[in-house]
Amino acid sequence: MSAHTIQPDKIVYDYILPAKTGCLAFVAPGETLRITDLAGLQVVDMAVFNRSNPRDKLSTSYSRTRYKPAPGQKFVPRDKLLPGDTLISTICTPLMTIKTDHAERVGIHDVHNRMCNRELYEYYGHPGRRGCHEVISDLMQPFGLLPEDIPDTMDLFMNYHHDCGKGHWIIEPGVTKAGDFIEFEAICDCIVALSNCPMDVIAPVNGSTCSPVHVQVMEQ
Amino acid sequence: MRHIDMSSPEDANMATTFYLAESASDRLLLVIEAGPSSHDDVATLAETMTDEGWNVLHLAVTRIANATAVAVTINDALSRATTQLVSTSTRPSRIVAVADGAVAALSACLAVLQSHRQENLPTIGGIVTVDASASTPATNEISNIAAELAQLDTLVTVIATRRSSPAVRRGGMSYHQLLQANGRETHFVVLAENGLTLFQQLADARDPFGREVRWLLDPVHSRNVA
Repeated sequence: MSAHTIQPDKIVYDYILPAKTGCLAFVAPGETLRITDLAGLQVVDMAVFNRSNPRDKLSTSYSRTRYKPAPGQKFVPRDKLLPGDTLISTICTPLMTIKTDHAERVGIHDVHNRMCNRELYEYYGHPGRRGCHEVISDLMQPFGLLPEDIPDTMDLFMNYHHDCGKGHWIIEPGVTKAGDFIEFEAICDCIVALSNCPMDVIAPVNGSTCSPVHVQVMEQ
Repeated sequence: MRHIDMSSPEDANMATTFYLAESASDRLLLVIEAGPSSHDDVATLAETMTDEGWNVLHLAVTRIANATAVAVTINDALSRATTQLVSTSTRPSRIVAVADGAVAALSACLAVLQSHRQENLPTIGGIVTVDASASTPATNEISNIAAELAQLDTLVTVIATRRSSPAVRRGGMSYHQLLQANGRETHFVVLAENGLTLFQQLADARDPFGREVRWLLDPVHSRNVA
């Protein structure tokens, strides 16, 4: 049995999220959320909320910059998040820790860009399309959140990096292969809203076609 | 909340109540319950779901001796509810069945198969089973039904189990994986131990189970144009 094999009787949630679709995963403290890119090159936009107060939500910028360095370690504002790093909320609640990043190149997840949305598609000639923002807003509506309450997401497997020479950001096709995954261990009771990114126009975010991803939550 | 008692005087084992959505709706939630039920829980569930635009057909079966016979009764109730809806609004086109317990799930699965086979019945497009693999009446029968259900490409499932029994969880996961292997859309969820009854969890759109069932009722995807 591989170290990454999941015991069936430890799974509390399991769903293959179809392309261009969203779902919620509820992750209790100590439980692990695994998101597997089944075909490779697929981006998943992830917003995390404190279940006891959903207005307390992921801040990707605090996650990069409000971490506490280990004794003797120098503080540097990060440009990416790696295994061992903590996802921190807008009021600095520790939400989840990145447990595993199982890919050839780790840390290829966007923590700077905001989601695709209806306006983006409309501006580029695709009116009527809904983006990750609309999907995540719909998912969180029962919790009393409005579209304007949705935070910037951590865009899993998105290859988005800065070109200092040119002075702008670059979107490139992802680097994940089929079966690559990332795992998060919850620190507090979390609601995780996932949008399997529907972008198949404008930019090559998801390779040539959008594809399903596997969402699993495991207890200890 | 408008409701109609559709119980048959000839069948003392089954109480059937049809709750109508607040406004005309083609959506029908079929809830099949084996054993005694809490009137308050049913009323809360029906009130919430009818507010959300669903007609609710609740069947409480006090004793299931024969799952096939119960499936026939379920479809008879479905047919009568359909007639009722057509007279007031429209024929149901989105039907989701929820069944708690192994024998209720077995009856519901048989009803799903019948609804897909018979042109005069509206097709059940979603099924939610809770602890379907607990103390099974006839393993072979269940395997055959499971294999047949796995062939229905328009059927979406939620396989839910309670947390306390590892064997039931493994059984549920095994069926979920069979459906996944057949390329079917299926959700597996272990119910939270939060002191709420199944119907209370189902009624709450913020509960993991309530949320997952609502996904069947109203999938969230980017293809919607609001």
